[in-house]
Amino acid sequence: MDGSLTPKSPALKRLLALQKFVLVIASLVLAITFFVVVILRYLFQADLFAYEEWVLAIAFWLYFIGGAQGSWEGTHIKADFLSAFIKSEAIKRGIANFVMALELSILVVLTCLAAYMVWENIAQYPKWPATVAWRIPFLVPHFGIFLGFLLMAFFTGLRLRIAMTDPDAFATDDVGTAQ
Amino acid sequence: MILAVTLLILCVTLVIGVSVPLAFGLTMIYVAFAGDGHDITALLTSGHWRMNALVLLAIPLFIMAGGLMEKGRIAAPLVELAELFVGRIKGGLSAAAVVASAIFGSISGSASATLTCIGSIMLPQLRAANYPRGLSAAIIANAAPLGLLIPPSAIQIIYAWVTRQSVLKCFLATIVPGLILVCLLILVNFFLLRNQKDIKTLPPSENFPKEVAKTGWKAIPALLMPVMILGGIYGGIMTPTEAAGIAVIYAIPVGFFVYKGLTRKNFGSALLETATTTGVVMVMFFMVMIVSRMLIFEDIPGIAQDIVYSVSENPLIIMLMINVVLVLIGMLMDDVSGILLASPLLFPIIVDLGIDPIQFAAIIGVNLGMGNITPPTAPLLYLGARVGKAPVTEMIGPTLVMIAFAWIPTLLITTYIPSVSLFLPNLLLG
Repeated sequence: MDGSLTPKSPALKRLLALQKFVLVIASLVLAITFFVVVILRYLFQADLFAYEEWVLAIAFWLYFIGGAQGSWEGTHIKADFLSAFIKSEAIKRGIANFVMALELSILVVLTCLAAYMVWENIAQYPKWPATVAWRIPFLVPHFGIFLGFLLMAFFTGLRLRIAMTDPDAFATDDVGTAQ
Repeated sequence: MILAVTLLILCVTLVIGVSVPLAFGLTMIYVAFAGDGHDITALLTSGHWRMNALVLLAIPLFIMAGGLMEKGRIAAPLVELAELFVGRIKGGLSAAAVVASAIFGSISGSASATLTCIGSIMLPQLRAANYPRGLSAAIIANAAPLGLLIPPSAIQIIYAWVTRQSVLKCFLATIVPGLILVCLLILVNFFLLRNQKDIKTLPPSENFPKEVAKTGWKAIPALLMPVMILGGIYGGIMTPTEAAGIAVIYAIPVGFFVYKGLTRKNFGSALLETATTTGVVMVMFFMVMIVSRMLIFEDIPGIAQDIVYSVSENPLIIMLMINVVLVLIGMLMDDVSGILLASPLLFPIIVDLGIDPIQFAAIIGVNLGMGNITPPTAPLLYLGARVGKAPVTEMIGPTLVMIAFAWIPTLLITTYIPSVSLFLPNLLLG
């Protein structure tokens, strides 16, 4: 039950577009930052002050929103060799639905844990923990982690619902394994 | 008890098809409740702190550089150059694919990017020259892990970070085993093709030096990339993360204006694809890191050490056992989760045996590379089948021959002759 889906609702299309925008911008910012760091060091004998603080915060958004995009595309790495030994389509479908339900349950727990982590930050306001130089609250990367798990749970739930109601919606020729 | 149940949960969830990060997620939840003194609410925070390291940003940046090069058709001139030298003998075209994979590996640091780039160029040519379909796809799939062995390599960055070793030394440790593997894969390739009668070879060159100059000139921008990355890192000019950032920025104009594979349309999609791959890898990284930390807290490495020593105290036998365990891990998991799980578990045993951790970097690299093409999981074998449009059944036979006569000898040499992996790190870094 891996494979890409076509978004139908406008809200979902907008959510996916926003997700893609965040990923492309975060990727570019990371690459450009390290390029600028090297240029500054050797051409201008200067440092980009405490850049690691905001670069790492952005990196967590890239990691976890990227993970959410992986859930939408069904490209998370899996071994899945049981299906190679099972001939019956009905059993295969049953196992796939069970796996998605299990994944959804695990993601719900992880989302709750991430929500608690975010809450712990908020609860310490105005003295919330922050980076040393730029005083970037740790809430920023933590919220990225929470949002990533929430979106992963949402997309897995969506895939499960579609698999239960319309299994043919999955484009099985586009099954992908991440690099 | 915890070790047994943890392994059971991992094996069962992986076998039924739960994605790797969530299989580790379930393991994390189990260990948090079954183990002693774990604060479940602090687990994700500890994962954040473990991953809050600048050096780890080299992984997404190298993935990005590999993706841009893939779309930028940067592999084509490398393949042409390799063909020029070995393409005119029987079996030379597939040997060129192995050499091109090694060169491309020094640019991308990713096995699947190597397979996709080199495979998409070489496999149609191999088919046109009457090379057997399964064998062609198998040789490309077997050569792809060279991307993990020839530096820069994402898994070596992870190993160095987990075990607190020098990234530069770990990069150097895998070069000689990688080159041995290149030679053995080429020899096995010639052996497997010895009875194929209708294989076409490239026509003889009319002016070889002129062709070398022309093709070499075209390949210079591509060849400059490893020079820049490795020269920058080993010259002390850049950190691996900075070199990865430079590689991304360099790949953009080269892909757009030199090789013209990048367009405004596919540039965004290349970034999106690599960002998704980054997310998939790093979320897995996050979960595996938390679990391996918990296992260390539960003294699982100590238990593993006791189990190993209860079987034998002979270092040669123990190394053999460690290799078998690593191959099994490689068969079940991908390279990143494999190295994240195996490094903290096996590292204390290695240190206790007096094995150099830098040599172990090479051993683990060869093992996980082999695991990537060893069934049942074998992600690169399946990717090779997809890229080469060949049935996996036709690839299994040649792959097993390559495992037996190229991979296993490389592994044994790397394991039992330390100087193979330690020669370059000692020579260049002392």
